[in-house]
Amino acid sequence: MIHEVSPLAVTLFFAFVAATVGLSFYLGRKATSSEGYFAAHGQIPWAINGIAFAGDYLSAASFLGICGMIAAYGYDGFLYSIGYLAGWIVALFVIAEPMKRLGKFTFADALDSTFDSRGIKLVAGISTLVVSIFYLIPQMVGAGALIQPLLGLPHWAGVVIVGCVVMVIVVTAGMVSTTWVQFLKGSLLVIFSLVLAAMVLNRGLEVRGGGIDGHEFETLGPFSESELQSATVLDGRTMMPDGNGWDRNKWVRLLDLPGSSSFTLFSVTSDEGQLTLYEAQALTKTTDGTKLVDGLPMGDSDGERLLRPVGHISKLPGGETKTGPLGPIEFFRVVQDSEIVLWGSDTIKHDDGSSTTTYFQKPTNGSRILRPGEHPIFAGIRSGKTKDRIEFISLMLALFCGTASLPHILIRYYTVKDEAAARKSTIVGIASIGFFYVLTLYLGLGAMTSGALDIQDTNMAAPLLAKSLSPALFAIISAIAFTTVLGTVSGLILASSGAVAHDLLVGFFGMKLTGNQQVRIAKFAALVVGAIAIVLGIVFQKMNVTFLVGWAFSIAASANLPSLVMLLFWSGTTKQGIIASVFVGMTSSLLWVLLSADAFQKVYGLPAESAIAPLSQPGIVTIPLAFITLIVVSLITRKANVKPTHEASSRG
Amino acid sequence: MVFSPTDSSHVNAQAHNSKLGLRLFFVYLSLYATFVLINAFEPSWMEWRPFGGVNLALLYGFGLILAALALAFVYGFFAKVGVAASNLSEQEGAE
Repeated sequence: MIHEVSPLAVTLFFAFVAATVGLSFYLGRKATSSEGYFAAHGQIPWAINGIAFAGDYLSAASFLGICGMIAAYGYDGFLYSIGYLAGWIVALFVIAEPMKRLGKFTFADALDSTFDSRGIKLVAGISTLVVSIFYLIPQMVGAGALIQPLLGLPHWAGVVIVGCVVMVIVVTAGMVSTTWVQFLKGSLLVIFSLVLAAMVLNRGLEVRGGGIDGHEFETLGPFSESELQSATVLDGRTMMPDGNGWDRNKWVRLLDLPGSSSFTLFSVTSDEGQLTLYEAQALTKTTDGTKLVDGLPMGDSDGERLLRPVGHISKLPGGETKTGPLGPIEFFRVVQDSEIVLWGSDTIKHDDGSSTTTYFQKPTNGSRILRPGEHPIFAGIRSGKTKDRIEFISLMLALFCGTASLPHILIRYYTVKDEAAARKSTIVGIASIGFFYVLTLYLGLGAMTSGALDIQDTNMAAPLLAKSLSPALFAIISAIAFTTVLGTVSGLILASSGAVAHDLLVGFFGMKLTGNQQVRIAKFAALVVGAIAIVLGIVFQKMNVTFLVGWAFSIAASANLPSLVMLLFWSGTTKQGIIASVFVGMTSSLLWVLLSADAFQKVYGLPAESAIAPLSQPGIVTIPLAFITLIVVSLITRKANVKPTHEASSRG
Repeated sequence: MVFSPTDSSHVNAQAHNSKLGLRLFFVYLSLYATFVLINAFEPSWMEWRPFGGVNLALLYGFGLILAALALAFVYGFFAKVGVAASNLSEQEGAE
């Protein structure tokens, strides 16, 4: 699908970029000291910090990835919403106040608060870098995906623009400007998601034969098997021959006009011996890189064809054709009792090395769409296999434990003045993030039934839903989606630059630096990390955004959470225990994901069966492993250590 | 960073908040774990429509988000505030 460039969207995008960069230069004057650069002097009001939490946390994966997953598969995307929010409970009840009490600038500060250990600074600094870079990749990939429909520029241009803008934000004013950019983004995201959800409910649901381009997908039949096998003409059109990968038991191609190269593709569905043909779509990639849609070159000029927008309701309850405005609960009731046309895809390899991706209709009952287990990631829970169930539990565990382990989230606790402010800002964060996640289900289902979905790119579901409602709203939502990336990437680069300057150079290598020198080095580190993020964003262009975020959560939860929790609640924790726990948690989870079936299949292009790790999600093994490592190493080393005055002792 | 033993209101507030936080954490953990285990081992239960014509998957999912919000407000309401000023001055002194 090729999107038209909207001048309003372009104007709004550049206005947002100008506003954020201008704000950064203005605030830059206040951030010359290390306290100002890394922690905004601890003077951010708690309410602002709470919304900034939302701006920091609601990344491209939340806004684009979850809405897209719900739009394509239904309830399963909402499982991510539930897991991501649940993680904030750990942050509020376990981490928030001690984090503020123990630390100063970075995650390593809190871990090292009672030990003053170079080893802790080293492993915590490296862990921060690893988690941040893993989290940066999907954000940059998301930026590239957004820039194509928004500005009509290639993927790499989007990645470079985001990288450069973020480097300016972080280098000019550090945490001060990052906080205000995140506050702005968090506010806009929640407000306009609410507007979008209200418009979805007000529009209601309607039976249609196709997408918003007005094309109605054809249905032919039913035919008997022998009728289809012997046919040369169907519906007055010539049937193209089988072979070269095409099999009429699955696919039928009817020439649009005699002698033309364009055709209409149909998928064959069997029901009690009767065969029905549902119109499908075909995207062929030839060996020279040319793309053909249903036999014609891909494009919007004469003699070219585009993939059609999709997402429609084929049946409403009670045989209705239109519902009118719906209430928030009524909306789910109607979706549950409707039939919605989802789309699947398949690949056909041809003799000359070219391949065709076929997109086919899957009329699906709403009751299936609003239950877990339709997405390939979650389908295993219905397989009855123990391994698939463990995989699901492992993912939900990583989401639960990951939030409170993300370095860019943890450093936000240093930007408020005290523990009470840390607590209050987390509550504001939970309220705004929770409210947004409630809206994701309306946005996703709204997109699913909007007729505007891009069949190739579910990440564009939310902006395209907005497009189906109002061109102005599309411009606003697209620009907000872009600031979504800016806000999160700023936080990640800031966390990384703090790890390099404060934890590694000063903490581990013992360089004697003044506050101003630390800031200068952190700014240089921000430029380097930003450049790395740009390169990775281009290299990993084809990777799934939500999938990569899942990895980052697993690594963060395994590397960071066990040591932080044990430091707070077990007085027997030793510095060796912490170092071993962070090292084992980080390396085991990192190695595990790199050796998993998902990595083999999606990163290396190897068969999933040849993977070494038994599960794709490591959390269920590596999180307990990090806890056990800490306990065992602490027990072994505690006699050798003079017992430190421990934070836990003051906790009653 | 070591807190002064004389800063008893701060230490008491920390202990109170820690205890309260852990209790609320385990309440939420039990709700979340039940949700995850039902999905993993009896996913068909999620299709049951207990009331309002909406299935358990939706009710429980929204329930978890609302429960997080409710517990957060309970914590915010009952958490004690320590002597923040002494905390700040101690931090400065320790550096």
